[in-house]
Amino acid sequence: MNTKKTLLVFFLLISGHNSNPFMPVFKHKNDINIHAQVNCPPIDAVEKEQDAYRFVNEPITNNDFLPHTQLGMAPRQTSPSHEKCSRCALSMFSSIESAQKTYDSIPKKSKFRYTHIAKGLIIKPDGILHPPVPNGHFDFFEYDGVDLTGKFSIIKPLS
Amino acid sequence: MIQLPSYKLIDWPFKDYTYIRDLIEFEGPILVHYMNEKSHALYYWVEGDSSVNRWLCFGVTLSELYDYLKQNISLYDLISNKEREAFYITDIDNELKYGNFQMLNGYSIPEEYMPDKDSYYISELPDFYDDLFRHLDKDSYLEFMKMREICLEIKPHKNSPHGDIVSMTDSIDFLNGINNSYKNFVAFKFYNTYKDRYSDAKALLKATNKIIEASELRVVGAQQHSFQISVATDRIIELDPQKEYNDFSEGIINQYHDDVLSIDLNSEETASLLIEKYDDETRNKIFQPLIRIINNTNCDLSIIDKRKNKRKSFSKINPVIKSKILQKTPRPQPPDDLKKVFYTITLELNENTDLTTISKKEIQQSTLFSKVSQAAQQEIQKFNFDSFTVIFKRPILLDYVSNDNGSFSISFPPLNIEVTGTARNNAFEKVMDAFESLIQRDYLSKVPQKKENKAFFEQHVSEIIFNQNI
Repeated sequence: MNTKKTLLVFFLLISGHNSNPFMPVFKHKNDINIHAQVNCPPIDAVEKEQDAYRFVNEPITNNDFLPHTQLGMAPRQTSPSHEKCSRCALSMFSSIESAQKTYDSIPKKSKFRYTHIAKGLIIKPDGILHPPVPNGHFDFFEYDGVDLTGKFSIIKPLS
Repeated sequence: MIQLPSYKLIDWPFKDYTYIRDLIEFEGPILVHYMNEKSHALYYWVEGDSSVNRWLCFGVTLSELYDYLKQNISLYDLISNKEREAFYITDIDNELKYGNFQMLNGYSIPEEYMPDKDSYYISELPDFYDDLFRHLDKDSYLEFMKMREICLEIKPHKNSPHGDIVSMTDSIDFLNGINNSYKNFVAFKFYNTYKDRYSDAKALLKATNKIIEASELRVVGAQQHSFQISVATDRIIELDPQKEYNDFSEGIINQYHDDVLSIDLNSEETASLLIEKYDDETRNKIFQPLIRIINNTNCDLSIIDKRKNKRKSFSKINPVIKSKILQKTPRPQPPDDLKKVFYTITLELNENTDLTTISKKEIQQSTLFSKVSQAAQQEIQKFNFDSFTVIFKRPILLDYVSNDNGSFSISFPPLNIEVTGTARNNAFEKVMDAFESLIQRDYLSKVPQKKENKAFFEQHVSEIIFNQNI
């Protein structure tokens, strides 16, 4: 009996963020394992209901919900301080204003392949986000098995 | 990658800079802040492929960084304003290796590398930046202030015997006028912005006085001859530690520029809009000092946009429009038969005709033409005061304006005299009082207060006859 308890506690301690072995795993766990490994997702990332805005194409497809690590682009970094973890997440915005203003700040050549802004409601079973109280951009770590294409609707073209 | 009109570099100019934070993020950093002990730089991601990402890097002053992060200027503005400065390019690979160092001039940055014009910073500033901006050193402080300056100039009128040199009196009038106009504008704007937050009128007044004090214009630049000054307002951190009024104080000088200095004061439409926007007292407090400067016959006022190398000169304000802008609230319109206009009639008569005995029929028969106007001029050869009479070498001209509310305004610009009376006689009495006062103060006194006035009287007065009974 005591041995079983000890083993269970040890398992909980070593599984990091997923302290409950029955919690969903992340959809892009391979990217996390390859590129980020340590402290990813951040320990203070949370499950919550959150309005989210994302750059997409019309019509919305799975390709609009790929993390940067899967876009075939070199990782964007200037310093070792740069968080590799963010690359394994989906970039989203907590308001349409922050989404639009960020788009305005991207240089013309690199305004990506996105053409529209879509809005969706992220709920707890979808994944975790960081920072816990977003004010503008936030990283979203999607759980495995979640399909975000049906949760987002296009609201306006990117100007 | 775009081929650039650049120069190859061996070394990286920002190698001793330290990463501070990402200012814009999307699928990784877009704009990154770096700094060393004394200087700041921004790294702006411009393009990338499967092997490298290219960064456009440039130095920024603390005040430029402040203006961008406080949303006073966009990222596009920040980069465009540096077209004469050097920018640096580096390509960084997957292993974080910096390479392909290049330098290019600001004006050579390709359009594809530029953000949109509306690229304002959107996020909240972390506390780190409040502390950073709080400790601006003296040089940066001046530079910070100069980022938000308004440049004004008064230049002597082209016929001035003093060339480009402005008198002390006109300079003082100019500074006082702008300062008073601006402070009254701040008071008006603050009241309208915050009045609903205060249930206590005393507290609102106290806050208003505090903001006026804190928003006072500071001279951040001056130029000799043709008196040119640059003025700006400071942040009010010391007086406003909770930064409650930060946004207000930072934007108020731009509002003054847009709402007061940039409008066409010689336009009837503008006058109507001002009457709608401001109550009488506020309108007078804001615009009377400014109009006084503009209408000063000794000088011409201009506002200069140094960044765009543009100048706007202020034309003298038409007396009718000026009276409209500075008028008090019209009382109920007087009946039509009490409204006054000026008829100027030109008669053809024999030289020795006695006008006091001329008949109505003779007037009708000899009238060549007539003109109706709200403005007219009166020739004055002499003034009879109680204690003396002043006779002019040649008649001087008083400008009369009949106002819509039945009042009369009389002005004599060479001496900056402007009066308004409920009737013509009343206004004329006020003009006489003004002349008497100026003659005693500036012509008869051993120590004239205004030398320009003394010079005018010396030039135009033929004689002064003192009343022997006094």
